[in-house]
Amino acid sequence: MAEALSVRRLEAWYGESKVVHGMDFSVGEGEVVALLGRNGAGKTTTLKAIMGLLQRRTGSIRLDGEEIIGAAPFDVARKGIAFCPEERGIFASLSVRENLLLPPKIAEGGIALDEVLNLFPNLKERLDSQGSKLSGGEQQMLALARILRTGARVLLLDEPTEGLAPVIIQQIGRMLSHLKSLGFTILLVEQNAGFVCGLADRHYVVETGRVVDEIAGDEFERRLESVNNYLGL
Amino acid sequence: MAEIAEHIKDPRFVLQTRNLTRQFDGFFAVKNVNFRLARDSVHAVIGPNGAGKTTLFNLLTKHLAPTDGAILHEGEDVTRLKMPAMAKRGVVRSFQISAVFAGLTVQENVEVALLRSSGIAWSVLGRISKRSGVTERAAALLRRFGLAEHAATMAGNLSYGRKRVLELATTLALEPKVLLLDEPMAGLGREDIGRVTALIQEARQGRTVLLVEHNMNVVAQLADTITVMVRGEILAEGPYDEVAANPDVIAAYTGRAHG
Amino acid sequence: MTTIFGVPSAVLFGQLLLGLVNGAFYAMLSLGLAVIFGMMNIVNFAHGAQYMMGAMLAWLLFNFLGIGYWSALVIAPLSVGLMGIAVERFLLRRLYGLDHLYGMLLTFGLALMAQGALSNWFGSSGQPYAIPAELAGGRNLGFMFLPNYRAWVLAASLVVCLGTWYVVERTRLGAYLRAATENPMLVQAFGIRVPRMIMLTYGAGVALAAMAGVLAAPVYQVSPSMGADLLIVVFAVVVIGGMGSIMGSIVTGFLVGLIEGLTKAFYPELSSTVVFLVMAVVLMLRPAGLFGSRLDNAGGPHEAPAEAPSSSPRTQMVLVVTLAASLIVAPLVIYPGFMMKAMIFALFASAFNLIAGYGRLVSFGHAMFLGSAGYVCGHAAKVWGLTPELAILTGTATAALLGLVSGWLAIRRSGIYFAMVTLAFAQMIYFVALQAPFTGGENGLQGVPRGMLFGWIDLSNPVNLYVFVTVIFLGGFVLIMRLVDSPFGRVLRAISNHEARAQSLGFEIDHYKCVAFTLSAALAGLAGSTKAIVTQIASLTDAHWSMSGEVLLMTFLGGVGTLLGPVIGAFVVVAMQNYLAGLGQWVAVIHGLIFAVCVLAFRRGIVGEAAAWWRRRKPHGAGPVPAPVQAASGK
Repeated sequence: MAEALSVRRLEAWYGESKVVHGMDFSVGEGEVVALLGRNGAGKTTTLKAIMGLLQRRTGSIRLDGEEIIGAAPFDVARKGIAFCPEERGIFASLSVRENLLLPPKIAEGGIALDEVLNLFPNLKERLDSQGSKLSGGEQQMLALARILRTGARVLLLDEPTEGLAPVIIQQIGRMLSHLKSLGFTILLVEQNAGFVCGLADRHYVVETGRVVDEIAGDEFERRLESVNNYLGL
Repeated sequence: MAEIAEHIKDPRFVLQTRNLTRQFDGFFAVKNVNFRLARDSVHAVIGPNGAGKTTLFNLLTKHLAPTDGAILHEGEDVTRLKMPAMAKRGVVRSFQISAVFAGLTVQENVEVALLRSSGIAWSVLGRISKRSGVTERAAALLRRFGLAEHAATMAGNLSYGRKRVLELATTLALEPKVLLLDEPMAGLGREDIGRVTALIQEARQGRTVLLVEHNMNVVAQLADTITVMVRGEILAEGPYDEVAANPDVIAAYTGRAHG
Repeated sequence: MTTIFGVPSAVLFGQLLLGLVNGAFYAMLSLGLAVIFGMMNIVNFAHGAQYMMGAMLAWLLFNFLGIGYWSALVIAPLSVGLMGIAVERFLLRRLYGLDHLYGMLLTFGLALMAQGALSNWFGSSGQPYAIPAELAGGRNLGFMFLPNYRAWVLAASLVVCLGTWYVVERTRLGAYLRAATENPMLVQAFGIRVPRMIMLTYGAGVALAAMAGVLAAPVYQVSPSMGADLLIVVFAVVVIGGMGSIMGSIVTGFLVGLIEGLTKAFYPELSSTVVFLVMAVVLMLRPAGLFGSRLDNAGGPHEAPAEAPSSSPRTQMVLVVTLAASLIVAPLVIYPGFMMKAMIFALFASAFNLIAGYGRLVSFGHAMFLGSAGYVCGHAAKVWGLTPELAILTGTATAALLGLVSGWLAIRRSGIYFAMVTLAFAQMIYFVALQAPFTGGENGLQGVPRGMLFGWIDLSNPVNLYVFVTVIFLGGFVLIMRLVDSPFGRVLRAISNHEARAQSLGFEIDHYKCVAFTLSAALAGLAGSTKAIVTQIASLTDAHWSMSGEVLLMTFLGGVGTLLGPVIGAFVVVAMQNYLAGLGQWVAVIHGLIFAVCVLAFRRGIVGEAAAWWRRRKPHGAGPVPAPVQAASGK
């Protein structure tokens, strides 16, 4: 399998403090990979470093073999990586429609708007609502939906299940499986072991800014105990 | 309001809330929460991200005003009081992102807190003299917290872990009766976690401590009582083992619908 | 003739029309400010200058190239907008991630430079600009006469305002803008070049100001200073409306214009101050503004103070003794008149530094304390016949009272809003000084007697006078030194570092800020009163906004938040004014240039940079030098 994204010796700072201390992992094309770990382990910072959203970062980040560690965020996006942030980043002053249409198309092959709305029927009914009026679940759906149109092939998803009801979490899980079947490459940050189980092809456990363990998808059930231990459950 | 207060007045509890609710744009971050903080206990509030712990914390610490409901401290309605007034009642908070006075030295940070408790903060022309004892008491606190060698360092130049320790030292300088800690372990390395845990163990003597925390090892070690919040409401409450075995709690954490 | 509440209806409608026309300019300018502020978090102090440049350019195009109004309406906004783009690209961009005040200071410097240079070339008197032939004349509406040009200004500004509103609120481009206002990082992460968008937005906002300038050229006189006073009113409009919404800016602009028109019809004496009174009321009742939803968030990181905060009592003693010794020796080699003037300004700047440096509340209106104290002291000495010390006391007390009232209102807002509020209050005091019966208007209050100190020391003796000023200056300096080191000063610094934390420790931060502001006002008043006695005149210059700018300059140049910085800054600026007096308006350009250089390259000021250099040289001194704080990236 070709490597879509490879991260080597990544170090990153959040403001003054160094949060990522030599992160190494890779994501194959069409693969779903999860970064698991506690709060403050450096998972979100890793995603932000990949997107170019942090000023201080060193090491290597390659997208399809091309070095992108020095690239500005809009360049990273234009090279084909889409980002769904932890806080969802729904623009409160924009309508749902405006939010959906905000990210510009960067390549052919994105999912057409109609199709996106078919995937997320609740959003279809709320197209003209203000972004601030959405529930947590709807916000997450919208955050996911709006990056599917752009033609980006690599999706970075930061804790898509955070704070959501189980039924919505299941819905998002089905959605991610569907995206995987469409050939998207997905890097997922999670604290919710139950959610990634069966979804991810591989898991990296992250602690204090490094990868401390790698668990293959089929081993995950068996090692759930130790994963929960890592997550402090 | 008075009758409500009468209804739930109970001397065993330092802080209580009655149907406490906070809405943001139609979304209930905290919904009808009846929370009680028992005297001299260490009480942890846990829950998945977005469960409303931090909002509850901010309501209790007066960082946010509630949409509805009441907060009682020592049986008195304090819903409308502001943060400084709570501090004067002996209820002092810490911040999730370590809050130190970055442009003051470590020693000066602690002295600021002591200035208020010793009642000379309004002295406009005086000096922070030996007479007031502020300098000695600050130095003693710094020694106790292992910060003595950094006394002259600008607090902004401390490492993250030391900033947290300094914040705790500053908070304890006020000798609060109730200590509210917002994720005291966030962003700390293993050693610092051990050190801060020990400091909280020490600080709890004769105090009531409430903490919001993600690190379950720390919670298990420190807390007498645990409240689990999910989607703005209290899901379960009790000692660690009891809560950890609760199937609803496990489901909330692993995201699986149980049963 | 019909009258309404005793005012002839034609007069009333005429004033209302004039009010609406003024309102149109307020609306266009506050709109541009709001758009720029939304994107960049910068209060564009150059907005007035850019408006003026639009008008000046139209005038120049006509008088030198024969290019008429309609072409100017296109050319001027485009050219000024391009200049704005250059300013953003090469200057403002360096300040993102720093406290918003730096942007304000830089644009203030640029405004001074533009205004000074143009005054120098074209004089500061107003030039007429003819109404284009197509719009000459007017029509009688029956109840009033409507000049065609005014109707055109109203129509054009409405189209511009609503057009801007439409673009921002209803188009895809506008969606990008709104999204970038909320979360620029995320918009970047979607592949949009936010830096370029910011640059173009600034250019557009500036072009809008220039277009307003062209529209204004035939209504008002075209002069290099036409933008400055207008901008202060627009700041008040912004505080009244809140910078939250585009529509809010438009509505508030026209509303304030109408209120002014009404006041002019019914109570003309109040017409120049009514805006500021409305602002005070809004601050009392609804601090976030009529359309503002949230109060200002705290600004970005400040430059870390460079001076080791508290020096030992011994160091302080050495400092004061050295200072006193050099002041005593100085008149042997330096003209005593210069020394006295410099000492007075040094006291003024030190007083300002108390609140700006240690309380981090940067006031843009400190001239009101200097000026009002000067007037009251002068009046007390001249008319009431008080001895100098009592006159000075009266002046100082007046400034303290004024500080208490304005501070009580102003501390409801922080950061840039605080700066705008104080500026607006100072402008109100300026108008009062201009109109009040005892101030002598444009001429100032002249012939203030120096009198006999305590009834027996003759201050008209130059030696006595010099010693008197030196004692006052040193007294004020020592007072401030003690204040900064006192428990109160420590708490004040803590509050300026982290407000929420200070509150959580039980400090009522508003009380501390208010007291600090009052003390600073009182000391500024002491300087103003002394100045009135020494110079024997109290004049409008001391109450003018440019004086507030000068004290900012002195303090930032010398080193904000350092004890000696404002003193050195004051001596440098006063010396510059003395030796460059022959250069006329170029002095303003130099001031502006110094502002820009300080903000861009030299944020710690002379003393701050020197202290940092000294500590770098011997690294085992007072600990590491705090690195200039930068935000992660973007904003």
